[in-house]
Amino acid sequence: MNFPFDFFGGISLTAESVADFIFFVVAGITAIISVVLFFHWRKYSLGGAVVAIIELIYLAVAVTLLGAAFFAIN
Amino acid sequence: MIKLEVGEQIIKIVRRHYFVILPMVVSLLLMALAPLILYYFLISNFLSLDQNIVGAIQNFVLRWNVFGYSIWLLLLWIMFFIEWTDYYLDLWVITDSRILDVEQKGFFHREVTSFNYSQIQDITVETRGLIETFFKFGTLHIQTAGHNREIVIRDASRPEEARSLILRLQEKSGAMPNQ
Repeated sequence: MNFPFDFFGGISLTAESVADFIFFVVAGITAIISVVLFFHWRKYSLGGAVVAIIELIYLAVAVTLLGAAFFAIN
Repeated sequence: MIKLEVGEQIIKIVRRHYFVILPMVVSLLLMALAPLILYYFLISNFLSLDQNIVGAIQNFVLRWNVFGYSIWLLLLWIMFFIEWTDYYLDLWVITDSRILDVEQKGFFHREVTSFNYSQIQDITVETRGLIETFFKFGTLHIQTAGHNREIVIRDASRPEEARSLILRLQEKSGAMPNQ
């Protein structure tokens, strides 16, 4: 499915380009949140091993979902 | 990071009861299922939509289902983690000489209050309703002298045990409880 629009005379908007844009925005948010959580947990280490395990689960699921989204648009 | 004094020992860490986070988890699960329910609702004969519209929806979903659903789940996953961090890092550390109240108010906003047992004037446990009674959680009110205010530990797991422990430690530390 394709919806070609022509904005500002040079930039064309298609379903694929919108999907790419959404993907990069969400990937960026995920990366920022991951870094923040990582430093947060390192700083406030009262969570101990539980926090470390949860952090790994978070990253594993986030990377899997990002990978699925990436392969779906490529 | 919480720095303990030399020789200070952590006796107990009190966290909010898991029941507090349960409504959020259920909401996120429902939100995760919402696109599937919406899709089957739209293509079912319940709405009697035009076949062209149903076909367009099916084509769109066929092309974008993996991408869209992955992104949707990822956003929900991030939301869950933000909430979970807030829940898990909200805690009360009972040591042999004081109580530390750590309140996470956002990713970068953290409030740590510390008070000694000698400052404690009164401790009250409030358990409201069937759910709090059944799941053994409630609110601890600690009236302190130095802070001249009440420190409230909301939705604490097993508040009665925490209260008894604090009173025992207060007695042990030589500070006389008022009750």
